[in-house]
Amino acid sequence: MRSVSVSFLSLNAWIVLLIAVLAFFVLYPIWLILLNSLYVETPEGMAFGFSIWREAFRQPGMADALINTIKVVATVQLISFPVAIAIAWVLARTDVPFARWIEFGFWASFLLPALATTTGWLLLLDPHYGLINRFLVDVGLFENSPFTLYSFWGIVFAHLVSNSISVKVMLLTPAFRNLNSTLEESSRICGANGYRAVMGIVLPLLTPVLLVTFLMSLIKGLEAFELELVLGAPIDFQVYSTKIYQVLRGSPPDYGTATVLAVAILLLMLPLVIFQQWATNRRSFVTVTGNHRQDAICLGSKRWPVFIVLAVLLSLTTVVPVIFQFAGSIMTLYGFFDLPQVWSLRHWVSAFEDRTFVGAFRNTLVLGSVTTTIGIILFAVIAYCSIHTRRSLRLSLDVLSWLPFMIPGVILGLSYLWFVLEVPVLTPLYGTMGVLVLVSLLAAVTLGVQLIRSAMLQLGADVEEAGRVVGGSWFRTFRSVLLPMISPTVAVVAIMIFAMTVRQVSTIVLLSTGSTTPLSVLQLEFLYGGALGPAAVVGTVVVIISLTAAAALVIIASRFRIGR
Amino acid sequence: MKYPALKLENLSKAFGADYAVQGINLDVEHGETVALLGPSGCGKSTTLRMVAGLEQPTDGAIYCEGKVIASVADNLFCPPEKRNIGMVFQAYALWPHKTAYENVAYPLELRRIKASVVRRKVYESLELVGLAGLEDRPVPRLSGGQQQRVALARALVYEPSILLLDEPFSNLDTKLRTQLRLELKELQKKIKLTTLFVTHDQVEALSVADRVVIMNSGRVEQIDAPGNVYEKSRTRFVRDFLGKVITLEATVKELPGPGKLRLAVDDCAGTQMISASCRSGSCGVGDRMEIAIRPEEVRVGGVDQDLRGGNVVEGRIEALLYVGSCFESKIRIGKESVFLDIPRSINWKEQQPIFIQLPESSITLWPLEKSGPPSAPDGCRQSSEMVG
Repeated sequence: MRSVSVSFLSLNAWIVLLIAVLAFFVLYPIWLILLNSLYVETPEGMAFGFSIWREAFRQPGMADALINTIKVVATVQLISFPVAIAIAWVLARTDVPFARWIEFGFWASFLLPALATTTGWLLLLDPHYGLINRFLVDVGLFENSPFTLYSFWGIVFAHLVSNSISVKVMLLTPAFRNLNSTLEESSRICGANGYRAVMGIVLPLLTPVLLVTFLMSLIKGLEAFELELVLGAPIDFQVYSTKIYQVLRGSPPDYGTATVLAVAILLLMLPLVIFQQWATNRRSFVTVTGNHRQDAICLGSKRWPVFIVLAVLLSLTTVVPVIFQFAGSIMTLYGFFDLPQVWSLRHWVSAFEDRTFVGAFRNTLVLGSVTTTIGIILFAVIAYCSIHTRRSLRLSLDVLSWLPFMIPGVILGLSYLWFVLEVPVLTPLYGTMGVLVLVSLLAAVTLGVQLIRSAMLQLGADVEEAGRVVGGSWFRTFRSVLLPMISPTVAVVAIMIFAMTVRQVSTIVLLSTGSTTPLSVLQLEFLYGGALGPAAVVGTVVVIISLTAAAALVIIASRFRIGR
Repeated sequence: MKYPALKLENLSKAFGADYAVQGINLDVEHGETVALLGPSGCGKSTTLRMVAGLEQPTDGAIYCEGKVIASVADNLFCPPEKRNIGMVFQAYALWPHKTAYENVAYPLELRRIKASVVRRKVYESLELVGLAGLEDRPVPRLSGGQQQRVALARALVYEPSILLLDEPFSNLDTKLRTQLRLELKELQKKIKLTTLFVTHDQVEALSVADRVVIMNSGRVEQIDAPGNVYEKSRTRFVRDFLGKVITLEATVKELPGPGKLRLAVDDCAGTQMISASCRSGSCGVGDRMEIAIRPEEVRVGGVDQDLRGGNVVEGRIEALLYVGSCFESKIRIGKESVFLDIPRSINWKEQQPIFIQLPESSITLWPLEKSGPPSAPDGCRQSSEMVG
């Protein structure tokens, strides 16, 4: 693509500068943890060696933490993937009622914080006072509570009802929808029943998309932190990320072990990331056929039963936990229905009287809005530069904007802890909102740049060139032509960044201090400390913020027909 | 009793309150090729998809060899895979992750046929459509015409009882279309398979089909042999949809004999009466009629030429375009203008008078309402205009 800048040289010089800055903020922190896991103190001074690694693996529970990590990720993905495929197929290809609304429901579910969902489900599945457990015991089906969220399967369940299924439904539904429906119909005509048509034709055709999604889910699954911390800690079930959190919370904090765990996980991820990149760059079959015709498959009499199954699944990930979290927030004692006064507003009252809560509320809004504002400008610039520069520079930009997506939140947080402490210029940032904004930007950069870039690419160079030809300056053209044309996408991206920032825990948990703690981390601390009532209040507030963002997303997306 | 290969009985499909197809009745005999022809949105594709089992009818029934495959009254719907029907999709719907061979073999594999038999049948089928030697080509690397043939081979390989073709040639360029049309006709002669196909291209329908079903707004206008739908159109829609037609409004002046009429073209001074025969119905002096004739049936002449046989109207050339093989002209006759290709053998000039002979045997008459529709100010009527 041709550049429309005044001269190639000046634009490219700026891009090189941008790449250098990005590289510093993305690569250097990671380099630091790698360095610190190998840099050991010896009697003769600092030297490289493996003593930290040997030391770390001598600790109890290290191997378990790594094995548990793999166990949880594998189990969650193996269950959520087929379920998400089935849901996406039904939503995209059949005449199930209210398909669009259900799809939006899964978007909303994706935006709901995992901690909020878990808090809600705790009221139902807690081993002592969970409503479902108590009901099953009361009616005499079981002698003791059959379910508990504080277990391996409890953690798996919490993942399934929080984001694991919904994010895949979001990614796969458009893929199924874009597949030419006659390819499936022709296999029906040839004699395949519905199931065999999907298995024999649709899934093989979508293999590239499915593979990429699956690998990406595995990589993102390694991010898991807060659910394991809340549900695993009471039974001493550790994954690598909770182990990092634990060793850093000890006194003295064990930075050595934390960095070793982080590097070990990054090494484990490396083949996955390479495989995922290879799969992404392979040619996809789906684009080969033109002339798409979309005819929904008639479910006939199964139409409403299928709808009910979907609605139930969706409500398990949205309505049910949200309602029960709210219910928990207005109970005198979370989960106790036999007190003289079951309901009370005491948690809400004390929350709003509490400086910590009010501060956290303010922190959340500041963090969300500052990250969103800087993010949109920065991501638009990166996207613009990556379109308008030569191949070699574009490649570096793409890699740098994509890499942070692959780094698990806790590791990103850990690396930034080192980063701000070891780079003198940045040290004043420690303990401020500034460092939280920095990592939040990194956590959002991949998605933001991708979305804005594809919107810009769709416009093509000629609208911009036309703006220049009629006599506008570059800045004027950018402002009055380009920006308005991509503004619906920008609005969607802004809302997504905001919602992601508001609900994130793992990236900022190691970096937030007393005065900068946002609501999401506050909820984690309440849950970790067993204060379920206050946790439910905080969670409800975060949900309200997220749902407001989700509602805005739905309105903008349906008005501008994004994603269809 | 011998059943038709395919029978549609009062078949309807409604989407909400809108009818895509409304009460279609059709019998397709064994070995017959029937075309569903009509403008886009007339319901022809929906009809085909109901036969295939890709849409459920909202009323009526479909029978295949006398067996019900869909019946709304009996709440019966046989899914597409159980109908043993072959279908070629408009964009072929070949599976891009399979080779030509694998595409054609797939239906046989679904039927759990022995590998050696599959092999033989696939090769036979590909040879039948002229694709021998390209078995191992991945489908995306075949040309449009070759893909079309693979799609046809895939539809034929399992010997379906009926073959359905959805706009089979619309994705091909004109030259290839003509060639494949001929090939399909040859193939039809060879394998004698009952075929139902959908097209919006009248040349395709008239040249390939044994019978043509003309559809409009979800209803059947006429079912007839190609020659009859063109030459003996039963409705104005069919007449105007197929080919070109010249229409002139006229008034009945004399009734010289039984079934014979003489008419005067409206506002066309100085020309003789037009003789025509009235095929049906009764008409009297003073009735208003529309004279319709196919442009290829008329003869034209200049002032000095003698058009023997009479039935001539006089017009004036309003516009003249030289297009190589002939002139395209706009000719004003009375209040109306008609478009006509006229031979370049005469050195025509704009504004010059022109004489048009309408042979009596080629004229069809269409009664106008007694009051007569008001003509547009410039009286310009395009011959391809659709009148409902």
